[in-house]
Amino acid sequence: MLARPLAVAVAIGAGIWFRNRYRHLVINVAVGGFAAAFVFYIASSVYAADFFDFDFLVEPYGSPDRSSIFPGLNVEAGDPRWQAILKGAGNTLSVVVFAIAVSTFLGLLIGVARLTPNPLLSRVAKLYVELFRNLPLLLIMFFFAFAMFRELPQIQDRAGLNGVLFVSNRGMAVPWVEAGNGLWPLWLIALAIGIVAGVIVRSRRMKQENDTGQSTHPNAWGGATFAAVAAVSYFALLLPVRITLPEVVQAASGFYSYAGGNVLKLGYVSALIALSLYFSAFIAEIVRGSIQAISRGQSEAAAALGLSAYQQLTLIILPQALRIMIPALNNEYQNANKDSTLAHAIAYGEIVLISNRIVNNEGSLLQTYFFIFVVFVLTNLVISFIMNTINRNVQVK
Amino acid sequence: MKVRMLLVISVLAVALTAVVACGDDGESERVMELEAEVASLQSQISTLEGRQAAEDTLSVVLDRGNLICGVKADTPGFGVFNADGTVDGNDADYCRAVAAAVFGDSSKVEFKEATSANRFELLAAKEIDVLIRTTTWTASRDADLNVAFAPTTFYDGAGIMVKADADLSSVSELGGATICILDGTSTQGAVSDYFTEQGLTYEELTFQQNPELRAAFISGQCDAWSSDKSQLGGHQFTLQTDDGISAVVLPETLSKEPLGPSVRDYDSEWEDLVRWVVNGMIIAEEQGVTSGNVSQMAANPPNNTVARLLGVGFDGGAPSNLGIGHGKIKGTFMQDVIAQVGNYGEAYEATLERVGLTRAGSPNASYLDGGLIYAPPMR
Repeated sequence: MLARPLAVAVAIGAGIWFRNRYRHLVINVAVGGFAAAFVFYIASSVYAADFFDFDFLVEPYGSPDRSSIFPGLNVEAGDPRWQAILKGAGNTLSVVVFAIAVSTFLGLLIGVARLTPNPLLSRVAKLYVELFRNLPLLLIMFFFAFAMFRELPQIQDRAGLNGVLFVSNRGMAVPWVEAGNGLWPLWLIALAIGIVAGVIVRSRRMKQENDTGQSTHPNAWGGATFAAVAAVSYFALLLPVRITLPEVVQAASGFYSYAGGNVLKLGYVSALIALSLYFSAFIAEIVRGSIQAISRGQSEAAAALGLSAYQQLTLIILPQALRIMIPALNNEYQNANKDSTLAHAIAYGEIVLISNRIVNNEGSLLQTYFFIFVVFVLTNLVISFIMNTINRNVQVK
Repeated sequence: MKVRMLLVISVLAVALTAVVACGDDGESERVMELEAEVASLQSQISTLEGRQAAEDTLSVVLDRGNLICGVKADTPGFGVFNADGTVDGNDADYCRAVAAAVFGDSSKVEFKEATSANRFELLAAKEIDVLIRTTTWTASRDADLNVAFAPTTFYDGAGIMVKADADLSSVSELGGATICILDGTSTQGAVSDYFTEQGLTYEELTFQQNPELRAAFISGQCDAWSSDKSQLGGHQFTLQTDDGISAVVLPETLSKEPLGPSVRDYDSEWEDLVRWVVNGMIIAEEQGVTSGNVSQMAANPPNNTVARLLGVGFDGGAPSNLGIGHGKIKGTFMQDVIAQVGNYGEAYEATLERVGLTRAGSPNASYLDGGLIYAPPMR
């Protein structure tokens, strides 16, 4: 009895469904409806959470965090919370930038090493890649922060190069620069001018070399120009910065601490090493893949021209491989940026750790996490922008 | 094929209904207003109901035949679930004391682990009758969480522990030290405030979990360990027993953390009972009534205070009725409490003193000895 009307209904439904116009309408309305409902839901919970109440940002942070490598980025207890969050973002950047630099350098070496005919070198490189690519990043961080560095000497042992460098399980004390007088910003500007002047001189000499075929030593000339500007301005500005050396001092309490120089805290060092090792393994694979994508004819032609293996690599293979590498590297750099947040587990004062303490003391979770969201979207967009610019410049035009 | 099509059609139909329901703005706004009104009325009704009828924990406990008590499971001295199923600790002893007052039998307790995350939910959901789990009495908990606090059984506060060979006797000598602290705790703020006020410098080293912090303290990554003193006492104990490291907790207390039992709001009969069991144990200590001499004291009370505490008459007179429990429990309930659990000092001695939380000279000494432990009169 029921079967007939049901069959008719199904037939009508199917008739509607199989006509593109109706089907697209139904799908569009459904998807749009879901999207609208989702946005409404988010907006109402944001509204319910007093999202626009930002008064908590001007209250003091409450406790210090001195895990930064740049003394200016250490959070003090009296800092307003917004400033603490900014310093946390600075701490994130100060580990990410160096981690990207180190992992790219390492990744390039290891990626090339994997393709060398030397079986020992290529297998060691493969082992490295397989090891660090397959370990969780957090585990690598824990290994350094909690297992390796804890066994370093005690601070009172004064291990290291006395007067220049100390190593202990509290961190590494290294020489640092500090302001010698109020003119140091001018000196930074002078250094920037020096770099520009050096680059100009170098490109002039380069052009001359290309035009005449005579060797003109462009790198040496560029470097010398920069050094001259830096040295002259350094003395002209009455020694604007000076170097401070670290020392181990004993307080009246009998406890030891570092003074002078700067202390690279274990949280920072562990995070930097772990990020560098982990991402260098991925970058090595990208480098290897990109090199293998270059036709064999290229290196054979280079060899036929009499170029050495090193010249083949640096002049012929790598510049072409770079075009293939860059989009993939962009991904890895953005991942490194985001994964640096894991360092909160080893007490490095990056943005998540700093923000979580605010959430613990005050609540305001949505607002605080909103800043984390903004910081990572912005920094990743900047990374993308830089990589895309490089990408455009290296493409065949 | 047909079945899959039907499935797709029905999903779309549901989606469309949802869209249509969201679509009509004016209508849905009115509906939402009405719904909000109904919800607020409902919550008012349930609050009123909660105030009047529902909260009679004492009767519930009596009917059930045992007391369900929320305690800590892993803190030496306060609450430890042993492998053999027994439960030790000062908090657990107060659970037993309440059971002794209600049933005359301190063994009629079911212990339930309460974590810092779920403790107030357990209490609100009536899964436990009383929460005795190193819970700090604060204004926001008292007011916002619908929790009522019985008298403080332990005056805690952030403290600092150093290794014994550092040879220090005061926090004021700690300038320049590196201090290990658990991240995200109120201790961070307490230490920062204290050192700033004292004009002392320090370095902070934070950890997410205690085992890593402990290893850092042992290896000398930090000179001092800061946490609530009650916690430090337990750690000091295990450092000595497990690693042979002797440490001292410095006498200064950097912040206020009064810990005590708590019950649900709007149940004053039950609240009064828990409160006066604790007060009674404090008074018993002041008057020298112990588990050893309580029966003798009850037979022949030395003064009116002891007579009223134990619910007996003084000098041939009739016993005075204090009204605790409104006749649902015996007037002599404190006799059972003291006989089976002991007075405040005995309970402290048996649990907290054993894990190194020295009572003498601390805020937890009786007010007679210059401490803070003081009970209002029982009369």
